[in-house]
Amino acid sequence: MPQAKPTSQTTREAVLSELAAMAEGRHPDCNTITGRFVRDPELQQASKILCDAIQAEYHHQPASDITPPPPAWLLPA
Amino acid sequence: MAVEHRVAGEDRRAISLARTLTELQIAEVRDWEGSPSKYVLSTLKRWIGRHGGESIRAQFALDATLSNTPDRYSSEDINSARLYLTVDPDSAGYIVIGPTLEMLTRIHRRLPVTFYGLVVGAVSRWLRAYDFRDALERVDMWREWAEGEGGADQYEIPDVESCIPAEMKEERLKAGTLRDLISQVQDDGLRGVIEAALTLDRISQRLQRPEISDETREAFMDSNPPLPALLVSFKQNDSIAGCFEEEGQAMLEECPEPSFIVEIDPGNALSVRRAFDALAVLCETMAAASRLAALLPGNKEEG
Repeated sequence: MPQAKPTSQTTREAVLSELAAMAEGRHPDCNTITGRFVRDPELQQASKILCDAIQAEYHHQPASDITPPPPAWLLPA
Repeated sequence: MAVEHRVAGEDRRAISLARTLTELQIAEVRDWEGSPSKYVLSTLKRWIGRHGGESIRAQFALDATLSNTPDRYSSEDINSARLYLTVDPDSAGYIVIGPTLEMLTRIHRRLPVTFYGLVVGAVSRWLRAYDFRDALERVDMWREWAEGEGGADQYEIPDVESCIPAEMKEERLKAGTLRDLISQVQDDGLRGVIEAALTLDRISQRLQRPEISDETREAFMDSNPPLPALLVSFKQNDSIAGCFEEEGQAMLEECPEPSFIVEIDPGNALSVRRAFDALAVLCETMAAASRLAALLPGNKEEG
């Protein structure tokens, strides 16, 4: 007849099971925006493409096309 | 030893490492609070504490970092499957070894160089120690530079050679001869110091320092040498300490290479075990060095 497992063993299994749920995205913590972002390479890739596109657009835009600052706006030193 | 963790809690690598540490029973489940990164951090702290953390703090200021990048000054994730465990000094510990060497000379002329080799060699297996050899190298560089600028005699270059005891040019004693000598040492304190050096040497050789891959090595192609965790001079504020002080001003001009780095494949039990075992030997070595430093008369009198 199998014996009951010691408490420490049960706890270890509980931790392992929670970690397994996190690794597989089943854990409630994985449903936060950050959680989804960190786990999803496609989301990360999409963000990188968007970020690079904004950077490229910013650098290639001629200075004259930049929207003029509002009146009384101080330019950065 | 301060501990830092630079991996997001939700990062797959943090989760994977937390699992492996739990399976290996390196982690203690009572540290689990629902966050893999906090759990890994607590495990790292506990591991360092178990392997001499408190003794290390008495003489050394070291930082251990677990990160997803090998270079602490860069955010470039060069391998998305790997973590890096690094140890760097916040500042260097300081050993004034001259007074001990003088006492050892009275027992045997070759004992000082043997003792010096045991102490500095043990620390250097794991972290960088700055000593007279670094100072001599620095002085050579200054001389070369000065000759190009109108002659070395125009500049005040530290005289490192003259602060190196003559006994340091002797040959080291063989292990058997050293053992015989120890049994003849009447002074309990001095015998304790020699035995502590032998213990330090033995601990430092329990493991070989893990090699790193070419990929990781490439990340440090343009880096400065690692920061020294230990400065060894013969007298307080001698020329060696002076060279260290001078060189120290440029040590952070470029990012320094980590003093200790081990790659971790977080899902691989063997890799995690190897990294934590290496960290344990590093910590125990530095703890033994710290205990030895506290016994040295030069440090007691002047430090």
